[in-house]
Amino acid sequence: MEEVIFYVGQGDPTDKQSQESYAFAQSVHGSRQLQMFRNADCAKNGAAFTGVGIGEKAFIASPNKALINVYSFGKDGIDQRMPVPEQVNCLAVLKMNTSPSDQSLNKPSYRTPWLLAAGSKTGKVYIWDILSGELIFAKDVHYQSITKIAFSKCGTFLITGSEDSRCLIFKTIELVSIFNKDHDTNVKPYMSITDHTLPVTDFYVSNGLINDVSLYTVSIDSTLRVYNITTRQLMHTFVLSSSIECVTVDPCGRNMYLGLTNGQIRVVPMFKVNNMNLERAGKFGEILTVPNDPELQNTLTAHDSAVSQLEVSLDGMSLISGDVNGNVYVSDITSKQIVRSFKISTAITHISAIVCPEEAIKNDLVADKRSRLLPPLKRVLQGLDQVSYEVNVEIPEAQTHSDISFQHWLDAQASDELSFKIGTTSSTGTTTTTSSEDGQKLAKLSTAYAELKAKYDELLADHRALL
Amino acid sequence: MSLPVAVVIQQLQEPDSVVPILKSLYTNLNALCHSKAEANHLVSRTLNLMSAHLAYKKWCGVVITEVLVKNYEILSGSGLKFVNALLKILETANQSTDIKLFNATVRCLNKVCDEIRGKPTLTREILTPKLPVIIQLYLNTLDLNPELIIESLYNLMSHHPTTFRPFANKLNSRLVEYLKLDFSSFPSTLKFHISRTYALLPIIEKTDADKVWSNKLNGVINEIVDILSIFKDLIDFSQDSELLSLISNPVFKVIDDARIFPFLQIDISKPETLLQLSTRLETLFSLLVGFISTSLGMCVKFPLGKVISLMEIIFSINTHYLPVKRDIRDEKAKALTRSITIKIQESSLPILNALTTTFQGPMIIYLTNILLVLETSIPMNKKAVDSEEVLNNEQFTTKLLSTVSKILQLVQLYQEPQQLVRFVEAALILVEPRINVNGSSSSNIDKANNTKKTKKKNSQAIPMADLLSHSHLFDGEIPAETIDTVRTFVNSVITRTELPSTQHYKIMRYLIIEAVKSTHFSYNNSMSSELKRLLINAVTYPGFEKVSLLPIVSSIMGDDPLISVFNNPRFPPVPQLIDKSVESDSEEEEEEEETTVLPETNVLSDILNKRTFEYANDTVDTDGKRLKTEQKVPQIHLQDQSESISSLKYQPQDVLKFKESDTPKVAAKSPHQVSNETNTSKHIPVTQMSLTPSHASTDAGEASGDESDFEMPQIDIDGDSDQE
Repeated sequence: MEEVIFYVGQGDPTDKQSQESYAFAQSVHGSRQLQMFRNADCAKNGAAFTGVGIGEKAFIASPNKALINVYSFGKDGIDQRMPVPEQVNCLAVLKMNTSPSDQSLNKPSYRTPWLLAAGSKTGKVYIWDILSGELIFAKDVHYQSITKIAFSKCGTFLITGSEDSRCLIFKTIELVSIFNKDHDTNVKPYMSITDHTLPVTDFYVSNGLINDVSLYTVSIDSTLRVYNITTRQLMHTFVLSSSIECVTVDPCGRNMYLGLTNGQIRVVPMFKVNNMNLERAGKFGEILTVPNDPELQNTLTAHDSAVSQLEVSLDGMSLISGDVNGNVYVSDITSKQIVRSFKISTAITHISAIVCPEEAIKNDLVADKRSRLLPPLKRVLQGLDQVSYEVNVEIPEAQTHSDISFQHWLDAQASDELSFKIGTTSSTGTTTTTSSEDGQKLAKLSTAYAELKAKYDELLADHRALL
Repeated sequence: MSLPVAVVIQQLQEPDSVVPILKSLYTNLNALCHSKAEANHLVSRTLNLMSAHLAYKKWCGVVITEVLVKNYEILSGSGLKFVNALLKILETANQSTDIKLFNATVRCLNKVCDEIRGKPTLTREILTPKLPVIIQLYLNTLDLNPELIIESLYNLMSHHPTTFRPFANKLNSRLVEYLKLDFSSFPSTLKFHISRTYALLPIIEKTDADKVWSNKLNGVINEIVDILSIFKDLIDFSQDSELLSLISNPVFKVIDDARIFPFLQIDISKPETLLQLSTRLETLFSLLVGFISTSLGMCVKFPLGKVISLMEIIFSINTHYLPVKRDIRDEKAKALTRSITIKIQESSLPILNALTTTFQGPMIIYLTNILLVLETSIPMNKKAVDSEEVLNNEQFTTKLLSTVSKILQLVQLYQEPQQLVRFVEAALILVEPRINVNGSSSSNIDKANNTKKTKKKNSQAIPMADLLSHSHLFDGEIPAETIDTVRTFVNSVITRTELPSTQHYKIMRYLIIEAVKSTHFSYNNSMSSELKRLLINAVTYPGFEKVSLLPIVSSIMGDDPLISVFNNPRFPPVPQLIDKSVESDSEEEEEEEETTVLPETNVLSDILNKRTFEYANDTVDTDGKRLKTEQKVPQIHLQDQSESISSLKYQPQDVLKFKESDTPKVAAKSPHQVSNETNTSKHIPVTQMSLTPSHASTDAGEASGDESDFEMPQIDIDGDSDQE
């Protein structure tokens, strides 16, 4: 098993062709560099990765052009350049399998995600169906630049955060049901968050049952707000003393990690001890002031400049953080020590951590171009006819469990043998022997065998007597 | 106990029974390689058996070969001999050949091919030269066991499309022959193998295989719509303009050359000819499912919108909403038309299932449309679901519910519960207690009751007497398949949507009654896992709930781990630091400390690259090169859980104000300080998990001398001592 981090930089604004910009896929726990992507730079949150290994893709939005660059794992250079209607800031992809299925399917040679969502500088949200290249949603939803766009892990919600201090939550099914007769192109958000007073810089959507999905939003206004998406209620507000740039949460919701503008990473525990019992921090709807931490009990101080990206490792024991100086640190959360560090020349704009099996990295066969390339993304929203909707897809193969157990196979053979012996089915056209002849032959052999056995017994007895 | 190889060889001369030999060979397979002479002897005896006259001996040789080829040395040395011997048996196979011998030979040959495939030299030397002969022989013997042979040919074609090319036309014609037979009455596995092999045939094309595939698929779809358009003459389509426009859409125009089947001969005056419609459509639906679920190993352009529109057409041809044409006056023809439409809808449901499995995400685009269309096939009587009709078409309703639940599983949240109400009602009708008397019988009961008053002995009432006095004897049994499907459907619904109160309470009532019944009538008070899952989901997804279901579920299955966690909620333990200086001074404890491993940290680091964390600062520059920085690896002392119990340490006392905690102060310094500390400091932080309240209370019990179930973890001192 391998835990891999992807990190992308902002790129040098003077380097128009992004010649000096690289993105990396790096092992968290080893020193192995798995992949380097050339000419890869993006604005904050402007990249999306489908996974690690051959068949996976990376989408990186160019920071100074109306382009989305598509990379294939195993290939350093840009695989496809997709022109888009305007320059986009942030990207998110949604995989094909939105929920676990009963039937197991083998992964096709190329994993194509289903939806690509992008947020632009002008506050517009675009959604493309990657399988057909169709632009299925394009709408101005924010007044200012969108800072982050993401799907909830189950794909039910699309969430956008913007510099206009708002955070909007849409239901994916409403955005994509383009062939529904009652489909309203003027889709209203499922929930609109207007509690922040300054630009929303980042948010985190928790995992879990749909009733328990929480949204953690952070802003330059130094607040962290926690919402329950299903009930649309603000559960907690945490006020810090410094602007918050990024947020991530422990996989089981024990701690929140906040990247601050002053370079500190603040750990905010979600539980407190009350008479030997652990209690959730704060009452419902309460505003909690997180005091300064002069003794740095709950603060990681690895970075010298504003922390731009945060991610927690699989085991919840390591924190991966990136700053505007291009440093990426993997820190042990409990000891607050830096375990590993990487550096690129420009501000870190994207970090994501993905776990994959060792075999995924070893395989080095790149599929042919026809399977690899995606249909070009359409730039105009056009009324699509239901009947003519086609998807480019490699049909996955059902997992076959052909390896029946030996015991099962043996039972089948025993059953066949039995039917041979009892002669229910008349056997073979090549043989002319009848069953009566067989019987006679068998009787003859049995007699011969009995005689032989008797002689053998006699000889054995004699032999023993001699000894 | 397995027999020695020498004994096996001896027995192979005249085998009494092959089963013990097979067992011995399987267990001794690797030991065979130790003695090459014995292995050769074994092979030659097996080959002798295969060339014997008796079918039984041949069969013995074949099944022994199937085991022997698992040994690579035998396969590489004698693979070709085995293949030749097997082909010789196949060559002589005909209708009079024992089918068991034939099946075993084909399976063994497939096994040999599978074992050789992927090994370049063996493939070049054995498989590639023999493959055309194998395919040819398979095609010749197709009729002996079509299911097995078509499956084998499918595997050969998918792995060796180029070698298969010369035989593709012959296979295609053989498959079409089968399709034109009474395909709908074939066993379902044979249908499956024929359709997927037909769908895979374009793989052999040298160029533009995807286009050929696409043309074939479109041909099947268009042919289906062409047959569906025949219903124009049976059902009045004029009342549904959308259906008319869909069915006459030019994309569904059939190209005559691409037709698989000849035209149907239907005569309204002979209503039984109408049955051809459903059988032909069923065949074509099977082919379509084959196209949807068979992987070609390449990217294809799938007309998803076209197939969904096709489904809309199929479910719009519905006699609940569209009347049968007035010119058809024959009641038999009318009844047949109604039943055929339901039959067609039923046989088309596998298409939706296959689409959902294959495409998942893109199907969400159509989710609302599909549910709307499927909803129309639930029979209604005025405003309520027609229970009699639902029960009459139980098989169809069950399949429909299964499909709906599969489609619903595409999303985690579906906030249009009104669309699901009819399905829920139909599902509950299916699992309601049934009485095995039809409407006419029940009217007879009434009659019988009335006639009693006349004091005349009515002979008609005698058979009804049992029904009146012992009605429980006439309770119909609900098929297990129906119960399973309904439960799966209910599970999908309650976890995704908040149903209206009526349906919600009906479902909850059903669940509780079933759970109580199941535990009561079970010897060990158990219930099926499906029902358990349902009850747990009813608690975890409360939906419309004024009174919690949790107490009832806890009473019924309080021992369930999930329900226990629900009733005794606990928070996850928080990783914490403990200063080494806090630890006990005693030597014994120190020793223990050195030799124990904290589970979480080390187990995970073992998994990740099978190495412990390297506490070294590695820097990677822009070129991706690793810059080495000199830093000593600090010793990490990990504390055992037992230690943690005696020194409970928690997070800061109050998160609100973040007071200083009572825990020993832990280093949280600048990177430089950290770096210095890792080299020199004796106060090395220790990673430790704090405890949940339940553990804490256990410890308190121990301290006060109470007995406790808590067990100290066993420490393997020797095992980990060298990790330090």
